[in-house]
Amino acid sequence: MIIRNLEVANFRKFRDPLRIEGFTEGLNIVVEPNESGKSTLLEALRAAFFVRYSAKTELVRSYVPIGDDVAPRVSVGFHIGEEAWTLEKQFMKSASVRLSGSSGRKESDAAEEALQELLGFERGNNRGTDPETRGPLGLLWVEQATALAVENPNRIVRDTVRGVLEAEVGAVTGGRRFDAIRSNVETAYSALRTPSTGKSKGNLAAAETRLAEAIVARQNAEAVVRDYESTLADLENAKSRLKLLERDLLDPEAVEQRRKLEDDLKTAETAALRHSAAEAQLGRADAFVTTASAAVQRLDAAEDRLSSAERVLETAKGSLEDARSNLETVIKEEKALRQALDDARQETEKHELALVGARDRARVFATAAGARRAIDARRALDELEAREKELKEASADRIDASELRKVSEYELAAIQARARFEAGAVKVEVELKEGTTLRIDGEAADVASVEVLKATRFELGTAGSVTVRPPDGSSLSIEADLAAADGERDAALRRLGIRSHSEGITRNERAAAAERELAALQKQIASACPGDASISLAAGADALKAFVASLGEGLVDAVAPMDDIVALEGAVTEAKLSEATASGRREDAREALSKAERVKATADANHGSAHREMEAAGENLRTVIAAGDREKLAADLQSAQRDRTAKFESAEKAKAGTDAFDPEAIRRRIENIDRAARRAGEERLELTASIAALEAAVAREGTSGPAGRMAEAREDEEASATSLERLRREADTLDMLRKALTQAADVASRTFLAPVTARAGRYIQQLLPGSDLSFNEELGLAGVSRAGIDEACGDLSRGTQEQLAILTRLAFADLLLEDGAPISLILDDPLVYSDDIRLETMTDILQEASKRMQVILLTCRSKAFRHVEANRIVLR
Amino acid sequence: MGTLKIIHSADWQLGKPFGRFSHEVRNALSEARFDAIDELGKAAMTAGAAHVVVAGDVFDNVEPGDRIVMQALSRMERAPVTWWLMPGNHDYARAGGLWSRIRARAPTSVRIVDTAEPVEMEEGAWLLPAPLEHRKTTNDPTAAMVDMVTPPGALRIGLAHGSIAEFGASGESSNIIPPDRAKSAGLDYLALGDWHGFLTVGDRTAYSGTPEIDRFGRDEPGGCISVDLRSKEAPQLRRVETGRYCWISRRWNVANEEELEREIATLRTEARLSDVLLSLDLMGVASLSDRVSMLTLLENRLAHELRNLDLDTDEFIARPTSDDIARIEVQGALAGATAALQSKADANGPDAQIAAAALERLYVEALRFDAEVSK
Repeated sequence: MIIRNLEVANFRKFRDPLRIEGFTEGLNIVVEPNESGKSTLLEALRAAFFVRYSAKTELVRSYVPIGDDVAPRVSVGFHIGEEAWTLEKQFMKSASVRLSGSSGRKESDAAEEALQELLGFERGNNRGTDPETRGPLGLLWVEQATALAVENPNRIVRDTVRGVLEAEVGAVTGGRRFDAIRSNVETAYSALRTPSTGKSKGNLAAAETRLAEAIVARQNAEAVVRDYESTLADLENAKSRLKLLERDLLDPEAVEQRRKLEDDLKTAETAALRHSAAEAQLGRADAFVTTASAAVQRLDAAEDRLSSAERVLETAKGSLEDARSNLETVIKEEKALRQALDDARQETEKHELALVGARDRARVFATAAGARRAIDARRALDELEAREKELKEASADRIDASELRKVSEYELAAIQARARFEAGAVKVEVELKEGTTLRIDGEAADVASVEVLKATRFELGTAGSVTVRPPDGSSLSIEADLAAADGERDAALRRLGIRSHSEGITRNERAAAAERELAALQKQIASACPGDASISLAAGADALKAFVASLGEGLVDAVAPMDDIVALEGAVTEAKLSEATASGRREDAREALSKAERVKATADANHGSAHREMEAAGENLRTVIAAGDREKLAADLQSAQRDRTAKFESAEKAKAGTDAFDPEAIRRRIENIDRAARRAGEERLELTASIAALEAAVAREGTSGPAGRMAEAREDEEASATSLERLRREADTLDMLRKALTQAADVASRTFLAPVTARAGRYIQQLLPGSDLSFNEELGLAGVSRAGIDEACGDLSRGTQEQLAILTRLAFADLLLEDGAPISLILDDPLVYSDDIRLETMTDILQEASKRMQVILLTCRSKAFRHVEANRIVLR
Repeated sequence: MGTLKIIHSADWQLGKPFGRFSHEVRNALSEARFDAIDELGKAAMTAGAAHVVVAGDVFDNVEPGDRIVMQALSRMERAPVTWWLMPGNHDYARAGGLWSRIRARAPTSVRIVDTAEPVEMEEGAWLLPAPLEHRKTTNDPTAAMVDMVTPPGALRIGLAHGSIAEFGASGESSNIIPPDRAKSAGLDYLALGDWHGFLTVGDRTAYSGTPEIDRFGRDEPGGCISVDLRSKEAPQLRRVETGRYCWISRRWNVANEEELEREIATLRTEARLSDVLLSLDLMGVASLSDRVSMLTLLENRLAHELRNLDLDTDEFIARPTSDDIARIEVQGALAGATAALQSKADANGPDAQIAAAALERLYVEALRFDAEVSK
């Protein structure tokens, strides 16, 4: 097939009609700048050949230039073999198709059908998206975008190629037979396993499940048997325990032992009874003894009481008599002593009267003497008080210490002022010869030295004068300071009435001495007025002065009395002592009297009660003796004691009897035996019940035949395992078979595709020396093997992929060409990813191919293909 | 005491599951074991025996289900004889176990001898049983027979279960019985069980074998012994066949269909095939076509005629001929697959057997396809 010319109008960016002519056989390179519409040219070709004129699809609408309402139009002129054809198609508005050839012209659907037949494609879906229907041209008109992909050829190509290959190679794959067998094997295999995953299914899965279930069933059955066996073991155990228990229960030795223990118990109980009876008798005997000895004691007591009552009465009588005589004596003594006391009292009164008179006289005299003493003291006081006044004055002269300190400071300031004055002053010392007069500033002076502070004129007689001028400056203020300081000092001294500070000190010392003396003098004055109690004179000078003033002139001279007051007082004291002695004696006697009276009353009472006791004791003894005399009582006691001894011995014996058999211990043993028997009985009941239960369980479980079922389950497991193994083996066999078939199919298809591979190989050897191509069953490029190493297509570089895509297309084109199909190879901007060397190789290959078929290469890279010898068509 | 006639049987193995067989075969075999009881009853009737002594292993396991027990008892009840059942190692006696259950349900004609004490069968005839109380007993269970006292002049019939010393084909060393026990215990006859075939040891000791064979290993059908006992005389023993199924083992070395046919024809003359369980080991080398046709013959014909066929072809080697291979395909993918599988099978690798099987399957599939096409 040779495309000769192409005209487009109203087609996408080609609004104005564009006509390209001059396509030749062989290699045509259409060079055009980018975006000028070369891809649109290929699209227009596709539209012309593959898209129905009447279609109104999205694709067809996209042919209309944007914003226009026009009818896209394409017209192609081409040769097939020697025959020239023209195809004209208009879309959308007034859609039409016209195919004109030497044989005539066809229009509309007839034209479309004729076109399909001519070029070997089928009616597509009009959306331009179904490459399967496009035939060889669909494969060989390679758009920019698809050039990269190493796609499988479309169905029509595949069928055509297969037809060609079968003609060339023969039906090597076995065809339908192989497919059928393989499909049967696959079916058989997939009944057992999922082919993709190898997972078990169907019968195999069922067998696996069955085995798993059989294992579980077997384990369950074994568990049941184990349970059953243990139930049986429990049963046997229970039975043997029961047997032992029953033997124990019926043990004659135990029965005999119990009987003997009961006998022992009876014996023991009898002994205990006997013992308690003996103890009771002993107790009674003890009581008899006690009673008898009590009777004897009562007798003894009655006798003792009587005799002691007699003794007491005797004593009481004596005491009474003594008390009577004593009383009489005491009465007499009291009377005498009362008289003596009266006498002593009269004596005391007499002496007291004498003493009172003497004391009155003495007091009068003492008062007068006191007054005289007070007058003397008053006189002495006057002297002391005159001295005190002096001292007070002296001490009042005291200058305040702070004033004195100020004086001292003023003096110091004056001295310092003078010092400064002297330093600033000119000291003029004058030594005068006899008779020479000195006048200073006109005034006569006789000083030996003068301090000059201002210009001072010294006139020495008539000899002339000297004017001394001290330096100017401070002299005047210094002098003023000095004058001020002296003034201040003198003022202070004047205020204090002293001439100098040292005089102040002296005066103060004097005042201090006066103060000390004054203190001493005041103490002397105080001691000179001690007061006088005898004349009611208080202490102190004022009291003394007042007392003396009150005396007046009527002071008499009292004569001292001659009474011996001390002797008088001694006589009174002595009389009082005598009276006290007499009074004490008389009190004592009165005490003795009342005591003697009390003693006598007591003795009277004692005597009376002793007498009554005496009578009572006598009566008591009579009563006691009435119950039995002493002999009888003693005999009773003796016999009671003998009886008790006998009873005691028999009680001891009875006690020894009980010691041999302890009824409590025996009872406990019997209880133990009974308890054991009771327990054994209970246990027997329990065992019997559990045996019954176990037997029921054995009967229940045994009837289902646990061991039989276990044996069955085991064999079932074995059978399941065997059958699973058989199925697995079958699955493995089928798996191996299907793999062998697949492998063989691959090998066969490689053989089958050898012609394609060989044709491609020619090109590949140029491009990738030492490499082989392999195709899959869909005739797609499966991979490249380089130096024996297989590489899948996807792993190759983009450039290589693109190159391979072109080369495989070439190979198919060759094959189809040989089959006589109309072939045209159009490549839109190919080999973009190829380097220079590859590009050159590829252009060589294309050039080589263009000898057999028309090749149209659309490119914007005029430079890249500059080296290629070709028919160049430049679009403008 | 005149002649005492008894039937000596053993190893009934009732309730054996035969789990590896198909349901039909399993049921048939199980039923046959019960039928054997009827057969024993008939044998007793025929021989005029009033007693059937069973020397252990009445049941296949120590605790069979009630159905089995009841089936057995009802079969026994039908025959007008006294059955003397003794526990063996498979159904050993234990408290509360199987035998208690049986005793509770057994008719009077069924006597259980599960204690080692002499029991009077009828006047002048005493049975001296040696029941087993454990699956494995290292003791000689018959030792007690020596001390078992019976009335003077009475017949002493020992009943025991176990191997005779130095004889145990099973290799078990348990419950071993000395070969001279009949003599040492003064027995008129020692009826033994455990060995599933008929076997006499001296003139007073015998194994009756099982009445119905239950495994491969001996080709003759099961049976019992009819024993005539007369005081002071050696017992008269007569084997009576009672079994239905023959468990036959064969190894056939055959290379083609004709040879196989010949073997089958021979087998047909030996037994009724419907009562035969055949364990067949095929040996030899055959072409693929022969192998397939022979296996087809075995599986599609013989297996159906037989009660059961256990076929082992591990040693039956297929050697595909060029014809076989041509039959699959001479060229193309099938030929390629055939060659690949063939070489794998010949390589003797770990999957050689699977490869051989795969090749055979391929051959079968090819034949099947051709057969369908030619239809």
